[in-house]
Amino acid sequence: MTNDVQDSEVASMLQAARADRFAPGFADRVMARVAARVAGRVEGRVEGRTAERGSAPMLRLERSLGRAFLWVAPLALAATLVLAVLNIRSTGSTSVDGVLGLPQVTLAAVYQLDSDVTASQ
Amino acid sequence: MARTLDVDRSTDDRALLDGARAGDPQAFREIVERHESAVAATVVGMLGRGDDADDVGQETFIRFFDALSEFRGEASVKTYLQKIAMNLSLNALKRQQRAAQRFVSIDDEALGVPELAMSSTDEHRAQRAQEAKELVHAALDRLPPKHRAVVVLRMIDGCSTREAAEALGVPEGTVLSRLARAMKQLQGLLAPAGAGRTIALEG
Repeated sequence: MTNDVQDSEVASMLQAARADRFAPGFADRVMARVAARVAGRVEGRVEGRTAERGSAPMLRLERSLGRAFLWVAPLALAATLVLAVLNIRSTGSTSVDGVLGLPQVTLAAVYQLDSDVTASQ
Repeated sequence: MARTLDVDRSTDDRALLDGARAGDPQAFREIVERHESAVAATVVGMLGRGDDADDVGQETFIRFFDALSEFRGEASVKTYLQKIAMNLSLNALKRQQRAAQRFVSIDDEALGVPELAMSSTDEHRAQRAQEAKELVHAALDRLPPKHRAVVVLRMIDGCSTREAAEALGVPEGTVLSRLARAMKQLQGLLAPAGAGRTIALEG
């Protein structure tokens, strides 16, 4: 017996041993699992919505704060820039003190302040 | 699940898929019934008959159901299902092997492929055919899982070498070399069973 003959014999045995079906009711079992899965998904969505409703006040506050920030932040930035420009103009200095409009503190000014306090006492 | 498709045997897979995606249970049921045979051939070929095979068969369709929205239809539904079934079967085999390693019997080595009982009477034909199927499954059980997968896909499911390679994620050359080795091993395992087995299987 050649290998080819043996191969075809084994092949026909394998083909004949092919299973065509699972145990009866297979489709019913699959569909029952599918239905359970779909029901689970729906339940999950409902639970999700309920959880969202429970935390709704917090969510609303968070969202309204976010919206307010979007309006306030550019205005605050613009106001800061205008003030900085005005301060630089009036003090003539581009240092931090100048930008913030703080008076320049020198050693003489500090001594002057000290002597003013002593004289008043 | 909402819409219902007018499903019959002539409805093609694409229409059934659209129906199933739209939530029609009848469309998905038709997919299950239409492809049960292909999935059974793969899973029972790999695992033999029993609860494990049934579970893996069900899980194959459940995975497909979950992947319906992602299934683009590049492969046929049958090929896609066979691929899922093969992967799940290989995983189940690994689990079975791990479990078997924990409970090894000293008699296990003595277990081989059972001899086919010789009988030529008509009333025994069905019984002999069943015994012959068991003989083939016992022989398949003796193959390493990777070789068994190739035999099941190529020789039982009727996949081409390319389809088997795709399903297993290996080159076509690997499929061919594994198949050659597996067939040689099967010849050795099935030859002692007797010359009358082919007649019994065809009966």
